[in-house]
Amino acid sequence: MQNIQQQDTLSSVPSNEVVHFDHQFSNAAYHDIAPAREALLAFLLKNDVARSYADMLLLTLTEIITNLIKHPLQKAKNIQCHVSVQRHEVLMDISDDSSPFLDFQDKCNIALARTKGCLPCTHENGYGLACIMQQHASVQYISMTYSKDSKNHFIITDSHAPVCPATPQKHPAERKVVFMVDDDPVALKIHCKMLEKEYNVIAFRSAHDVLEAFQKILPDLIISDLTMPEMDGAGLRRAMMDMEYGNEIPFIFLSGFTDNQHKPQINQLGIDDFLCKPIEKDHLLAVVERLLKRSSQIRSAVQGKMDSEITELFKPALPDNWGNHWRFSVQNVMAEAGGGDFILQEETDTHMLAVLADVMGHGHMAKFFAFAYAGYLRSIFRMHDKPDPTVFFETLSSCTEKDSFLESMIVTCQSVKLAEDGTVDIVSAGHPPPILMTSTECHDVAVSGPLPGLSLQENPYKSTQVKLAEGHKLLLATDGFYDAFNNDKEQSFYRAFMMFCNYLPPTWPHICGWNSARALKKKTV
Amino acid sequence: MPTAQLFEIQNNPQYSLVRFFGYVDADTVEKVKPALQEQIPAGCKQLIIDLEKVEFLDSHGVGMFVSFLKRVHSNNGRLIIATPEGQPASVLQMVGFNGPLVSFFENTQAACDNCLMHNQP
Repeated sequence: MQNIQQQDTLSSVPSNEVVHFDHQFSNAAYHDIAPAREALLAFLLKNDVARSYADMLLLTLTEIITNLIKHPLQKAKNIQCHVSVQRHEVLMDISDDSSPFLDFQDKCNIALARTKGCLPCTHENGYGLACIMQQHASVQYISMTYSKDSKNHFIITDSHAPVCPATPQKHPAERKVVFMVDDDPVALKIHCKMLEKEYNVIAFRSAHDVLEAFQKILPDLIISDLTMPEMDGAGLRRAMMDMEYGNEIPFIFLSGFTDNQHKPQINQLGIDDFLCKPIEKDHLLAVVERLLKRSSQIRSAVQGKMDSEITELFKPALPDNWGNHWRFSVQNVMAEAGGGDFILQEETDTHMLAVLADVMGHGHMAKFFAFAYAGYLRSIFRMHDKPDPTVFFETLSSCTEKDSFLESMIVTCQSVKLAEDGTVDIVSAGHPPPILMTSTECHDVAVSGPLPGLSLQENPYKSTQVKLAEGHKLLLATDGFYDAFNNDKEQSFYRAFMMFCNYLPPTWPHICGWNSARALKKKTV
Repeated sequence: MPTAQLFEIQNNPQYSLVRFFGYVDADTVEKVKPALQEQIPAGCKQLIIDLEKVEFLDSHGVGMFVSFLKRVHSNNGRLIIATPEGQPASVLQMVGFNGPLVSFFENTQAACDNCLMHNQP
């Protein structure tokens, strides 16, 4: 602790103000990191940053400082750690005067890909950058060559960092929002009071105020008086129906009129309930709860249907046969809606080229990228009369380097070129190795290659050739296959794979696969 | 001020149990790895790493676990992680330290019982 100059500042201020933490290391060693970590943790917890997020920042701090101690040719004499917190916004800036890292972004992408795309547990180093990259929305490295203060900067920014609520009450942001509109200030106050413990109630004195607020806030429910000056409740409802999302928000009238004068008019407005003043608190609460629950159920059901339709639409597929000797089978188990796996194939007179790709990420966003990426790959297929795996990846890699959209994605791919005689040429770009299953053994096919666009060498893609005999199976899988087996910690990968094959019915002996897995088998003649 | 205990090790015929305390980071790894390489039997086939008392794990700690994994793997054995919770569990998950050669158990006793059941001295 002798060589550490600690300038930690701890302050607790109102949540909307910015609070700062500074910590300086001089000629830092590994044992200086723990005290800095402890000081940062105290600062973050004192300023209501959620513990889970605080742990992420502590890990990032540790990984960066450890890297700065371990790797630079010219060691840092001074390292400055600055953290700013403003409610959900967090910025961490770690600056140093060491010799800068070269190709930092490439190193990050490769480290990240390694934890995602290959068999884990083979390297003893290189996980730190992957941790940093995975944890934060934005990670930038600015070397001293480009920085104004001639220092290297690691800049981490997160705009949605979770914070702890100041009180044990449910955070207002998590409560349902109810718009309450009534021109009678007394009635408005009474009805708001009835709901304010359970809901985030926003009161309005006129329909125009509601319409104006609706442009900025999307409520979960609107409760409106029927008779109001200028624009009445029915006018408000009609105006809402013409607005985006307006028709989706549950709408209740709360009125002192109980006669039938307005009923025909109201029935055409498609409202969810009509309540009469005076109303008791329990009754109002029960109606509001019922409508909000019903609304959530409908949204979930619609979303679920959409999810399943999109998933089905983009499901990876291959033909059942090619030539006289090949059969294909695709198994695809979606862990969630969306997903980023896809398959492409191109047939010629003499060969078939198939590509299995995995866009990293989950959900619809990954599926969207996968769809866009698939289109790009199709266009590359069309660029060559006779598709070749090596040429295909070199073209893709070259395109990736020149295209910022492709460059922003991390994708692992594997292509196979199949010949009638059972020969398979395999090229991989950061993909898990394929598995060859013969009658006596089951093993990896040693094939590797960098992610598209990340190679530092020329012509980095080498084709590996294997020849399948009758009854042999070749399985290509995305890393989801490995994840699936990780659910069963006791199961050896190959043993599980063999067991899975044994479960198959005898009439379909060639099907093997698991999560997004594809099996190719030389058909028994 | 006495130095805080960083780990303890129990060697049994069926397994070895290494229990870490506090932080498992680059500083800890530098201090404990040589001692552990020496104290874990060369032919160890079942190695339990107990994380119950670990407050913080970083990538250097994971790297050390990988070196242990390689070691037991060379003996055709397996690595067992006991009590993976909180921050250490998140880090292990994040780096993909969950391959087929690693087993996870909720507590140390369950891990030890499983090792005895496998009975691979």
